[in-house]
Amino acid sequence: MKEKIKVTDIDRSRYDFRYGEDAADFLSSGITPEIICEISQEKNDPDWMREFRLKSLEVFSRMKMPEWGPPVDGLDMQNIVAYIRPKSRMNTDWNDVPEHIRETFERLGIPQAERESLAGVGAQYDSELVYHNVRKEVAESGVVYTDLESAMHDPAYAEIIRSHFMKLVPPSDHKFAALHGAVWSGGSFVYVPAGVKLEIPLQSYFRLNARGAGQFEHTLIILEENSDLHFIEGCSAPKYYEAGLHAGCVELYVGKGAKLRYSTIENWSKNMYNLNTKRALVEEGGRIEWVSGSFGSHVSYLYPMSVLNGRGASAEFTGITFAGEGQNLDTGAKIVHNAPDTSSHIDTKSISKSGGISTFRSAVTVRESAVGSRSSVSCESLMLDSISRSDTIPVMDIRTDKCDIGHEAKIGRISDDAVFYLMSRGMDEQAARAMIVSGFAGNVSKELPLEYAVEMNNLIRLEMTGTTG
Amino acid sequence: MAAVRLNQSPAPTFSWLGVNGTERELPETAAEETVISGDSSNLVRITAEQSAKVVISGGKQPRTVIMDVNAEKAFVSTAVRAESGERIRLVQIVTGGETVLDLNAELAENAVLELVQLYLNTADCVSGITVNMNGRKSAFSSQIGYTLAGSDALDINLNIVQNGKKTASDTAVKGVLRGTAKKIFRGTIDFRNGAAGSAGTEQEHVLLLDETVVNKTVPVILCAEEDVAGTHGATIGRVDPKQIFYMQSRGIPEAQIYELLAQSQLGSVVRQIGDAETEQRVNRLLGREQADE
Amino acid sequence: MALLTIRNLSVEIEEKELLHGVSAEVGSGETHVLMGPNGAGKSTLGYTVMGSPEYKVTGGSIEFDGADITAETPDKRAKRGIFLSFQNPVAIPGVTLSDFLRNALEQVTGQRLKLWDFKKQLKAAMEVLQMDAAYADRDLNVGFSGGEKKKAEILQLLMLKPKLAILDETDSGLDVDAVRTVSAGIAEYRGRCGGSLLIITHNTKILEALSVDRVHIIADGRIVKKGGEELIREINASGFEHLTGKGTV
Repeated sequence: MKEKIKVTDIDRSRYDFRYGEDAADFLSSGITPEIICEISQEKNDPDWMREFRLKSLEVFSRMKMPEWGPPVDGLDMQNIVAYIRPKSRMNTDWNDVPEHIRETFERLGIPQAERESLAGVGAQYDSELVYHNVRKEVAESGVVYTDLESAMHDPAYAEIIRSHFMKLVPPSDHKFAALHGAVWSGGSFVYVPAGVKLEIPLQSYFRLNARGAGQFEHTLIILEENSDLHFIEGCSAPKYYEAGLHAGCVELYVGKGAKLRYSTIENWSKNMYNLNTKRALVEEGGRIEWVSGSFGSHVSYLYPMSVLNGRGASAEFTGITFAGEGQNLDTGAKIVHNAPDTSSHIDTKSISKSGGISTFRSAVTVRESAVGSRSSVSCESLMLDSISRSDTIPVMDIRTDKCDIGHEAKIGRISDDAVFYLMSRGMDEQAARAMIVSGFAGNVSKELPLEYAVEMNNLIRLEMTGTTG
Repeated sequence: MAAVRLNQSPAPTFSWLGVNGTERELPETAAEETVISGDSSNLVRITAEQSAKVVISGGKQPRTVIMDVNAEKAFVSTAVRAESGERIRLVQIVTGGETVLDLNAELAENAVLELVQLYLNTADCVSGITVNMNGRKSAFSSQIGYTLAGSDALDINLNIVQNGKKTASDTAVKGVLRGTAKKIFRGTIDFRNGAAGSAGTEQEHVLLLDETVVNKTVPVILCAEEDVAGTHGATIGRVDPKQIFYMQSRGIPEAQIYELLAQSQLGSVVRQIGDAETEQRVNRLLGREQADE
Repeated sequence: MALLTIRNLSVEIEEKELLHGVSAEVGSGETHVLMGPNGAGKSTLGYTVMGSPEYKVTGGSIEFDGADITAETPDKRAKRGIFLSFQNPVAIPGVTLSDFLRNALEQVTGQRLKLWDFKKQLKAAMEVLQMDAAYADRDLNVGFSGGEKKKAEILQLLMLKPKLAILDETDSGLDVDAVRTVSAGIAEYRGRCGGSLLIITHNTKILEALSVDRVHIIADGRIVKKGGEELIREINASGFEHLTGKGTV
C-alpha cells in the first residue's frame, strides 16, 4: 500500500508557475536537431529563433509527461515527426474528410461554397474577409494584426516579438510547451496601441495554407495601456487533421487598465490530442476575460492561466466542456493572484455523455503579496448517463489572511421534474433534455457574440440528438 | 527506517501545487493493538501516547469510542468495521508532535459512522481517512475542526468512497490558522458507478488570522454515476468587515472579535463530541472560558 | 448639554458625498425621529454615528456625552452608550446569540457576569419580545427571518441598555403583530433606563405609541426641516414633496 518514493524538486520559474513533472520515463523522440534546423531554414527564421527552437528541443527531450490527467499513450510520440510534417496537409479533398465532420457541417448549415473553401489549399474562409475589413478600419489607429512569421521579419515588430515570444509560457513549462517551442508554426500577432479600443472583435482563422499551421500555432497579443480588444479564436469550424496532435500556445499581455476578452469555441475532430497552453499576464487595473467552449478532441488538456501582476487586476473565466463518446476532456483554469486587490471569478459547466469523461481542474493561488484579493469559483457538472464520468479537481493555495476566497461545486443529473414539465408542454423527451442542457450552458452562450452562441447551441443539439459526433 | 508516501490524492493534479501527497518516516515501535469488539462497553476511552493500532467493531447498541492521541512521535492506525445496521461514533482528539494517523472504515448496509476529529495545535500531523461506503444506505457524517498556530502543520486526506446505493455522506470542516501554520485539506467524494441514489456534501470554512499562514484546500468530487447529487463548498479568508463592524457596534473590540470567532469555529465542533468530560477537557485545551457555575 | 451633538457633518462613501453639513442634537431621555425619502441619507447618518468604517467623515464632528467621538472605533462608542439597531444585521455563523450577547454585555459594562444572572435577564427580555427561548442557542442571525432579526436587535437593545438607541428602519418589513411586539420592546427600553431614541423611518406606524419630542427631515443629505410632533402629521397628510421639492422616490 505504501511505497518508497523519491522527492522531486519543484522548479520555480520567475512567475513561479513553471513546473517539472515527474512521470514514467519518456521517449527518445523522433525529432532531431537536424529536423529542427530544416524546419527553421524552410521558415527562414532569424538566428535567435533557430537557437530558441534547438534549446526547446533539448528541454523537450529532457522533460517527462505529466503524471496526472488523461492518458496520452495513444499519441505516437516515437514518430512525432509525422505530426509536425503531416503527409497530407490541409489540401485534403472534401471527400477525404470523415463522414461525421461532413455531416456536422450539413447540420450546421454551412453552405457548400464555404465547405469547399475550408477544405481547399490556401483558400480563404468567409471570415478572412471580415478580418481584412477590420484591418482597414483599424489600421490607422495603429493596431497590428498579422501572422507571426511575417511580423518576426518586419523590422518594426521583430524586437517586440523577440522580447515577448514564449516569455510568459517558457518552453520549460511542460513537455508540450517545449515541443511547441521547437516546432511552432503559424499563428497570429496582434498589437493594440495605448488607448485604442476596438469595437468589433478580431477573429482568427487558422491559416490553412501554412505547413502544419493550426497544430502548433502561436498567438501573441499585446495590449498597451487602456486599450480594449475582443479576440475570437478559430471559432466556427471543426477542423480535420490526419495527424492528431495540437500543441498550440497563446500568450496575452494585458497592459495597465487594458481589457482583453479571448473567446474560443473549440471543436476539433475527435481523434485530436489537444494539448494547448494559454496564458495572460495582466498589469495594474487590467482585465482578462476568457470565454471557452470545449466540444471537440479525443483528449484535451486546457487550463488558461491568468497571472494578475498589478494592483487591481482582474480575471474572469467562463467555460463549458461537453465530453461525448470517446472523449476525455480535462479543462479548467489557473489564476495567480500576485498583487494587492486583485480579483478573479471562474464559472464553469461540464457535461458528460455516452461514456465521455469531463474533468474540471483548477488552481487558484493567492500569493503573500496579494493582500485584499478576492476569488470565487463556481463549477457545475451534469451527468447524462451512468457510463460517463465527471470529475472536479480544484485547488486553492492561499498565503495571505487578508483575502476572500470562495468555492462552490455541484454535480448532478437532469431533474426528472424538469423533463416532465417540458414534455407536458408537448416536447419529446430528447428535445426536452436538449433544451435543458442548452440552458445549462447559458453561462457561456450569453457571453458569446450572437452568431457563435447560436452555433454553440447547434453543437449541443447535435451532441444531444446523438446522430453525429 | 524508510520514508513512505502518505496522503496520496485519489485525483492527482498540477505537481507544482504540492498537494498530491506527502511523505514521512514512520516510527518503528511495534504498535500495541486494541480490539473493541461486539462485547466491549458502549463507551470506550483510549489514550494513545505512542504508536497504536485500534480495531473497532460495532455492537447491538450504538457505540462511542473516544481516542486521545497525544504523542511526541507516533503512528496510530484505526480500523472501523461497521456491520449491517451498526452505529459507531468515533471521536479523535489529536494534539502533540509528529503524528501519522490512518483511519480506514468499512460500512455495511445501513451502517452509520459519525466521526468527530479535532486537531489542536498539532506540530506536524499527517492524517489519512478512507471511508468505504459499500453497504446500501450506509451513512457517514463527519465534523472536523482544527486550530493551528506558530509553526504547526497539518495534512489531511479525507477520501469518501460511495459505492453502495443510496449512501449519504456529510462533511463539515472548520479551522483557524495563525502564525506560520501550514495546512492542507483534501476532501474527496468519490461516487462510484452503481451508487445510484447517493448524495454527498462537504463544506470547509477556514479563518485566516495572520498574513504568514499557508492554506491549501482541495475539494474534489469524482463521479461515475448519473443518479447522484454532490456538492462542495469552501470559504477561506479573513473575517467579513461587515461582521466586524456589527460586533464592534455592540461593544466588542476588534482583537476580541477574532478570538470569539476563532473559538466559535472550533466550538461548534466541540459541541458535537457528545461527552461532557471530553468537551470540558477540550475546552480547557482551547483555553475557552469555562461556564462559571 | 445635549447627549448627542452632530455638528456640520459631511460624510462620503467611495468618494461620493452623501451628507453635506448635517447638524442635529438629541437630548438625554428624548425621543427624536429622522425622516426623509429613500436615499436621503438617513441610514448614512445612523451608520456614521455608530462609526462604520465604510463611511468617511470629511468634515464636522460628533460629540457624545461631552466627548468628541468622531474618530473612535465602534466598540468604544458602544461602551459610551450608543446602540444602532441594524436594518439588515449580518449573520455570524458559529456564534450563538447568547454567547454573543454575554460577551458584548461584559465588554459594555466592564464586569464579569454570572452565567445564571445573565440567563435570567435574557429569558425575561425574550419574554417581552415573545421570542422562543431556543433562539438564545441559535447562531446569531443565521437563518433568522426578517422579523426574527428585528426582534433579536431589540433584544440586544434591552440587554445592553444604551444611553442612545438609533433604530434604523426597525419597522420595515414587519407585519402588524411584529410591529406591536417591537414597539412594546422599545417602550420597555424607555421604561427601564430612560434612554434617548433616534428613530430612523420613512413611515410613521411605529411612532404611534411613542411621544415624540422632535422631528428632523432629511433630503439629499441635508436637514431641510426641524419641528415637533406635528411634522409627522404633516408628512402623513402630504408626503415629503412639499418639504424637499421632489418626489419621494
